[in-house]
Amino acid sequence: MPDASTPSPLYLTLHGLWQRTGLPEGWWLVLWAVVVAAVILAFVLLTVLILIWLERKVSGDIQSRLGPARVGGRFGVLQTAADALKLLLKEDLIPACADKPLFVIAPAIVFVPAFLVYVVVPFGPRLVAQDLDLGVLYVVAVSALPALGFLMAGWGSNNKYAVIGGMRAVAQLMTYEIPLGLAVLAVVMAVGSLSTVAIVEHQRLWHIASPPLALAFIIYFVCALAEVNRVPFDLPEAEAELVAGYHVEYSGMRWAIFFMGEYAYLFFVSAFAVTLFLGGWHGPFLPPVLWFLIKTYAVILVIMWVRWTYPRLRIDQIMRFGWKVLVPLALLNLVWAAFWFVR
Amino acid sequence: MSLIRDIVTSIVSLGKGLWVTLVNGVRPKTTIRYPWQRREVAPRYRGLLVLRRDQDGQLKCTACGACERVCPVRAISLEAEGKGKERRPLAYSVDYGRCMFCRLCVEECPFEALAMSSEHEYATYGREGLVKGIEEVGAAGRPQGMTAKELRGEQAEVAPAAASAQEGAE
Amino acid sequence: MSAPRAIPAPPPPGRRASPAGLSTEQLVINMGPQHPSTHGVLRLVLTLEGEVITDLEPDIGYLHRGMEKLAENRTYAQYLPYTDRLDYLASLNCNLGYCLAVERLAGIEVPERAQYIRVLLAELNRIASHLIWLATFGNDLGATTVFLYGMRERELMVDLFELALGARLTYAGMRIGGMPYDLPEGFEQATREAIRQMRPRLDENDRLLTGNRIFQSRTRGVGALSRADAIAYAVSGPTLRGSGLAMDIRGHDPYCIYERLDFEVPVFDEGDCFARYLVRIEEMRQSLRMVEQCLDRMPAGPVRAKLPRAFKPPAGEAYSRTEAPRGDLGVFVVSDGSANPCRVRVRAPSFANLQALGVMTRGSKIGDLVAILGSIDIVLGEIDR
Repeated sequence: MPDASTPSPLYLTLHGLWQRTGLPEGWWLVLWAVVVAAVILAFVLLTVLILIWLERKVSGDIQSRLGPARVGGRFGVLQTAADALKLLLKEDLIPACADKPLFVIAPAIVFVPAFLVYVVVPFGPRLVAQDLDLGVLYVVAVSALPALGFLMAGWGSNNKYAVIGGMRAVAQLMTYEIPLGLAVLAVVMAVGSLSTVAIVEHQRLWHIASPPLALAFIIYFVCALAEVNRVPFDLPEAEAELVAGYHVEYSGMRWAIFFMGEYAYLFFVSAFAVTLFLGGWHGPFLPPVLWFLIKTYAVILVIMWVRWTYPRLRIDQIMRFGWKVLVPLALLNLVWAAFWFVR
Repeated sequence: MSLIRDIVTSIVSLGKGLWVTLVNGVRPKTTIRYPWQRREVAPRYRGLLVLRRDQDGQLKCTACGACERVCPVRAISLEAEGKGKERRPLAYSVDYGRCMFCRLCVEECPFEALAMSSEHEYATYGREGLVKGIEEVGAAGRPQGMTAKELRGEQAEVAPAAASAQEGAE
Repeated sequence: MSAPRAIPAPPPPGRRASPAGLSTEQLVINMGPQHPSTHGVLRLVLTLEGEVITDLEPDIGYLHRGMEKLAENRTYAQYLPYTDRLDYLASLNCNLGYCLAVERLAGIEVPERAQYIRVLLAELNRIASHLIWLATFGNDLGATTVFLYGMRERELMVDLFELALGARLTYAGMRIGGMPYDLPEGFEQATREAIRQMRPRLDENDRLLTGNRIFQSRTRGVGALSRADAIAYAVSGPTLRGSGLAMDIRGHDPYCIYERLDFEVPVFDEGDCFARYLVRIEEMRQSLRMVEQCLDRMPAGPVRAKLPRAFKPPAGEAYSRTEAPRGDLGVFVVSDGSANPCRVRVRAPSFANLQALGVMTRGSKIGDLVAILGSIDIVLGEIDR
């Protein structure tokens, strides 16, 4: 499971129980994987609920209004649950002449990678589903998959707006993967390992304190906004222009899965930023998990703050910015980091 | 270089935007939590029509039909009974599905019998519910609104403003 | 260029070879009539080549209510609330245009105090209208917060209207011959307070949007309308003044008491969305100045000219021209001597401004279309009537 050298006491206890039943070891591994996956899924879904509520509250605050304030008490905490219930009860509409297999599978292809990347997120010193040696590479690889889902959604909807939205989404995502990867590569260069746990353990002093990694953080932050399709990069789903772009034909639970995927991925990019740059679970007094969550939510709040302040960029401006500004900047940053750390 | 200056001003402008939203984020919110909190409307507010009564509690309306004739959308319909000084409305209905709350009827009424109250919450489940008859329009105890003379600030029958209007007008 | 350019013929539909040798296909897309950013029920038929718009055809009429025909069956006084609903965001300006036309027709002289009140309310309405424009413009560009801020600032104005007139959107706030009644007690105080609160909020909006790099890259150089084109298409209002022509009817051909007021007419030369944005922001500030001056200089007196009970203007015709927030609003009234007008024709500024949309948009991208349409600031109510 976690660190090969020090499994947690909980794991040892449960494994010990299993060994006493005498069932095969292989089944234990499978069972453990299922349990871990279920825990992460529960966490992700709960986080999504919280994030949606938080987004509405933050946007309300910035916009001088209350946000959800009725369902579930003064702070509307049950609002998201009520909305989820509503979405479940909606009619399942598949447009005529839609490409059914594509249309149906697309939400899954968007949501599943957003959930898969949580495997390498180190919530605490031994709280990581699987400390892969190739953790960072795994993240970058799996992050590329939702783009396929967007394209399938756009094409499969049999709707011109959706096609345009889908193509924009893919163009944007592909473009911003590169500076993202390069910024992350600077961190990997500093640490010397692709394992997320190793990266966190390397950060007695937060990575953001070193100048080249501070710049890498900024590049990463901007790319993360683009990867999650948030303002100022939310043109693929811009309401004012394409009436929701690639998911215009989706309603009810299918649309909710897109939405959940976006928020799950939002939490992940913030958590990844914390892991790479902001010291992971390091912090005094409080339990490490709490520090991790506090830092992640701080990053999420900043992302939301940015979203509700700025207008959105046009697609060609997004592409131009990505290719002509971020990629060269990320490459230069990489060179700088190389000189900084290999000294 | 102008490029550097460009970059710096861009970043500063982005920062200023964030500052504005942050400042607004911590200010008190402007939401009024309807229905637990309600907004007070101005005295001149144009709400539902109300038939005024005199000191004896009788409706002032003489069913002359001036309001019905002036209404641009024919929202008012009335029937009279009696003759001369005893003329009173038998039926008086206002169709709020048609009414555009322009207040021309109030201004036309020669008897100061009509006013627009502050009531504005009148949602019903069907269109029939929007047609209010004399029992509702002439009900006692409703907010009284302002008649034409009250809007013009006149208390007496012939006010100085009206007199000078006759002098000053061509 | 000095001469207006001819509209190029749209390219033939179907497959064409692009310069790179790839064959491309044109996409014809329908935007509207229900659409979050067409500002009303406007249908735009776009021909797209990738992201670039090669042809644009507006289709109007979805809000046609027969306003001009209705006028023939209403008396002059009864028609006034209908004029509210032309440009419903600036209804007092439409009231004013109509009243001026009828008063010119019948030779009525409006008392001075009424004229001051009319100008004051019209300028407040201009601010309220521009605030809605700002709110929707920001929202279309993705800055949703600006929408909420604009509406919040508009509450200041709308509360004043509720105080004075009793309504918050369609006021029927003027009458033939002046005002229906005077301003209430406490109005001046409330207005000064509102102005005092409004100024820093406009500055705050500047900080949020005007200097913002992202906003500028969405609006600078976008939707350029040359001065010659603007004149050729009879564009008026802030759209025209954003293209370099300093034409404001309040300055050129003043009506009511505008020649006694001290104000500047903002003009910018670039003709892009940013220029039009700046024009309107500055106009709001100038309107605040004008409101203060009206409050300072308002004389006492009657607020309405006495009219006969059965108002029948002499046969004839009259045309009034006012500077509505969207441009040159013209009202043409023809009388045949009866109590109902024979004909009321409204020259809506947004109608002409919308025609220039094609010229502004050719060669732009879809993202720009939304910005350009927002910067022209149309209201379908007056386009379709």
